[in-house]
Amino acid sequence: MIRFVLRRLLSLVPTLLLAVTLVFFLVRLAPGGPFDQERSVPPEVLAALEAKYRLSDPVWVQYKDWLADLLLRGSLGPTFKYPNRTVNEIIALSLPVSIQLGLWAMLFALALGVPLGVVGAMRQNRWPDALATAIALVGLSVPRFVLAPLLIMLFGLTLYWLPVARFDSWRHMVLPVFCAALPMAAHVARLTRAGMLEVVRSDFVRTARAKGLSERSVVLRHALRGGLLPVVSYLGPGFSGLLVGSLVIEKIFDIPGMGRYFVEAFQNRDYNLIAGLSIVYGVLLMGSNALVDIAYAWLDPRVELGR
Amino acid sequence: MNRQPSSMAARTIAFVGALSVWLGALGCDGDRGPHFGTTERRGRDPHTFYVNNGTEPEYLDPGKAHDSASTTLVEHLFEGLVSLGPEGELVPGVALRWDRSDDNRLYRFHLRDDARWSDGRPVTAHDFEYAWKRVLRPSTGSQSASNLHVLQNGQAYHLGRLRVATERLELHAEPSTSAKLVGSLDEGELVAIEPASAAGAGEGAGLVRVLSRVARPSFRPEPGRGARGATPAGEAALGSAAGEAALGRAAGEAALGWASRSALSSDDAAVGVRAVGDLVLEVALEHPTPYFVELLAHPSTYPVPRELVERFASTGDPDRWTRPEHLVNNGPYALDAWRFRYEITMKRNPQHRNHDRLRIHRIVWMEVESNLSAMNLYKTGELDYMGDNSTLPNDYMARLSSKKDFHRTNYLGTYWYELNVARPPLDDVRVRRALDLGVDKRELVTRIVRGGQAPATHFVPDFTGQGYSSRVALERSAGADRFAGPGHEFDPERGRALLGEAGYPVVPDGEGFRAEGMPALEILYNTSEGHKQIAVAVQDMWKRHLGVSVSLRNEEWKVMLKNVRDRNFQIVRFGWIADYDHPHTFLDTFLSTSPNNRTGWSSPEFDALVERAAATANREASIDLYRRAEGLAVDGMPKIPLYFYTKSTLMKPYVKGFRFNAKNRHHLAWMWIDPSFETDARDEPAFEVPRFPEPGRYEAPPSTP
Repeated sequence: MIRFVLRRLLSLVPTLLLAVTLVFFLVRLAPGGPFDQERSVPPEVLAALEAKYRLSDPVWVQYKDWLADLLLRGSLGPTFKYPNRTVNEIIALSLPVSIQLGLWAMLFALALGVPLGVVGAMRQNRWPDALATAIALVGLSVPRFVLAPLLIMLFGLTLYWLPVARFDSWRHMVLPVFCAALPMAAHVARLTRAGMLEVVRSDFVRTARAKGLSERSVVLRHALRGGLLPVVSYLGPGFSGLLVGSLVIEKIFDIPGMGRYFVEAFQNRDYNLIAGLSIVYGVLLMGSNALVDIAYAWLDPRVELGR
Repeated sequence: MNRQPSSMAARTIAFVGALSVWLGALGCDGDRGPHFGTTERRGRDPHTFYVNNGTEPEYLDPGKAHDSASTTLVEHLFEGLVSLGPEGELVPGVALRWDRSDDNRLYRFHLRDDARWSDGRPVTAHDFEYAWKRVLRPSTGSQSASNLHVLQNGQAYHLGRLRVATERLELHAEPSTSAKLVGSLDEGELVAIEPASAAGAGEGAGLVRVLSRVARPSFRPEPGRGARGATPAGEAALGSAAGEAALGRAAGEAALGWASRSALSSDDAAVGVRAVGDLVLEVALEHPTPYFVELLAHPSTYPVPRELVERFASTGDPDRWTRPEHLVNNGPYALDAWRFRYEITMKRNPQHRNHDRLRIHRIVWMEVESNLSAMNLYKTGELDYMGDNSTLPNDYMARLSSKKDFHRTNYLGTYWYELNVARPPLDDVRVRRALDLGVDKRELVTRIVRGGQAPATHFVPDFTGQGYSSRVALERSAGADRFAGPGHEFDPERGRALLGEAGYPVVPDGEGFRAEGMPALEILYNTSEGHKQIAVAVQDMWKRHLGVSVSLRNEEWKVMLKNVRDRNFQIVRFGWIADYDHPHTFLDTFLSTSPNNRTGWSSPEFDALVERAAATANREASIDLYRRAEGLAVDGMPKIPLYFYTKSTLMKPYVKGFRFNAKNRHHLAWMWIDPSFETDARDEPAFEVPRFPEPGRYEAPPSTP
């Protein structure tokens, strides 16, 4: 098992390197540079700024230096937009916020989605199923930028129960977590329902029923473990999607997370920040997929570890 | 599944629709009061002020701050020679008074002796001299250094063209050490060299082209003053011709010759600023600059703590000294905490002379980027003020504008379309004027922009200070507004006639018109809903009134800047926010030498008139010349002015001492929070606003005419 995990994780390195290299060169191809602005900057000043950030070197030299910094010192370089912060600092400040938000949202999505999916599957085509499907449909079809203002208007501006924005206490997290979680919960509910429908027809569930186990025990102890497999494989991309896709939530609720940088860093042509974020996202995405594989191996006896 | 998904979806939509109507009704319900949201300040310290600063500042270093989120904070942390009063007027900062020469070229500032850095050391004239030269030093890479180009030799030094001969040097006729000699430079002599960007020929031989000799600042000689900086005035009469050459304007063939690059070192001693003792700062300007003292309220002219700055620069981390754990500053507030991308808190600076008079002791600067979120935070009372750097959501403007805590004022900026005059058909001034006449700007501001803006027929906002607004008022009262009436206001008929004269006869076409033979035009704007709405409206007006078809192109900001720089556009949306309260800031962008002249339009007559206006000491006469120069720019119409900006904001009624000014720069030091505002009518600033005495007379050195 440990060898499987290690091998799985090591295999990420080349993929990550390739992705980051592509990003490194592609962002430099985009028209416009980090120091372009409305008021003209004299060429001499531009040259001084570019020299300071080593942008006047040939691109491959920049790449070599950047990679050396990363591998030898773990440094992702300075950002161009925020001169007294490094990319490492920005990630260190914003990633924990995003992860905090993302984890709570994921937990909430599971807590809401799995029961809805199970109920839907167990009461297929009856009113509980219809209700669960309706809730899932709302979750999927109402975009976050519509949902969030509605909730703010209700709980923040009308009832005064919850803060309308900012990120200072648990009360500030309720609305953003709910908004981030709802679409995910909808996905989870649909996947659970589909997974459960498949599993409840399988032989081992029929066997469990034949043994005379209670319905509750059949569902929770036998069917659920298999029925959740599609959900598990969705959680990897789902979680990294939460982190990156939290842009809207972060904007609306003014949360100092990482999501906003994905768009912003490119708009600012903040090359180092873009490369740094790509690494983080790459690690998150591939890492969570690897985790999913590992979880699969653990959940499903049919998956074999070694090759 | 039995149920039809489509009927389910329809029900969902109906449900969400009903929900939002209900919520909308609830939302409006809370808006009935005379103020927007709560006016109660529950559980909040009456000496702590909560304000939105819009976004994360780039720099808290005065010399480098150039975005408004940074400059707002810097203006609270640092103090320049001149400060801003509640109305945006100039009030004494570190300087108590100043003297000025008759030609607006020489200034002498007298500094207060009780100015202190937050570490207790005195703020001296040397700190200013150091700070200004640092901003201009090319390696600093300051993006606001052009503010100090007005200093004598400032621009040449900033662009790396100012050199001093470190030894006696020979000048060669050709870029080769074996070429014949054409002269020599004495040790210590100042010259302007060819810009690095134009180098090439002499590179191999280690030679650089010397364009001209440069004058040292022509300060009045101080008795007993040594070698540092100024030299006696008699030596200085090379005049502005040398300055022109230093800028590469008059360069051409007038070069002196080629000299060894290594023996010419960059030297800031010739930059026109010097400290005379600790409390006197003398300034020599390149050209007469009537707005110079206005510039001194800008952070780029603030002092910096030399020892700290140099310590960090020497460790290769020049931008870290502004972090709260290191910062030494001289303004009324000190940095308390800095939560990146979230909020910055300030407390009173115990070393500042106004420490005991400040009535706001702590400021929390939130960095809320979404204006809707900021508005909500204001409504629930989390914010006391929307902040100078935050706008109100346009969709709510109508609802907000009836509230008592809503404020609107003119804002020193003009929204315009810039035309690339190098490309047909816009190379024809008649076409440009026709396009101007074909935009119904009144309709544009009332139907599309909807922020109470004034339609613009010219470039300098009517309410610009320094005598401009009174000049406009004077013309209006005489019924002779230079930029009103036929030829300036919306006149489609005249526009069509002009197009006809230009060879594009406008013929009726169905219900509208068609300009025959008119080449395709295109409006470029950076991706934004607001710019798009304006572009669509202008497109429609030109089609309807002139029969001219234009297409629209939107680009991401940096891409657009690149295309504009490459002159790859026909019509592009831009605007100009005043750097200082004087018509020069707007008209400067029309000068043929201005790096911000993106249209390619140039007029020697205009350039000369602006130069004359700047050199005219008499304020009325000077403004009259500026106004005439503006007339030439309007006649040439390289930019189509659309409207003058306004600024709208929300400020809680319990905040006193707030004066919404056209500079949109409001120092919180003047404000205070009045818990009993409902019964208390007082609204004076937090403490008495000091005033500058009339400027004294700086007697020019005898050799300067």
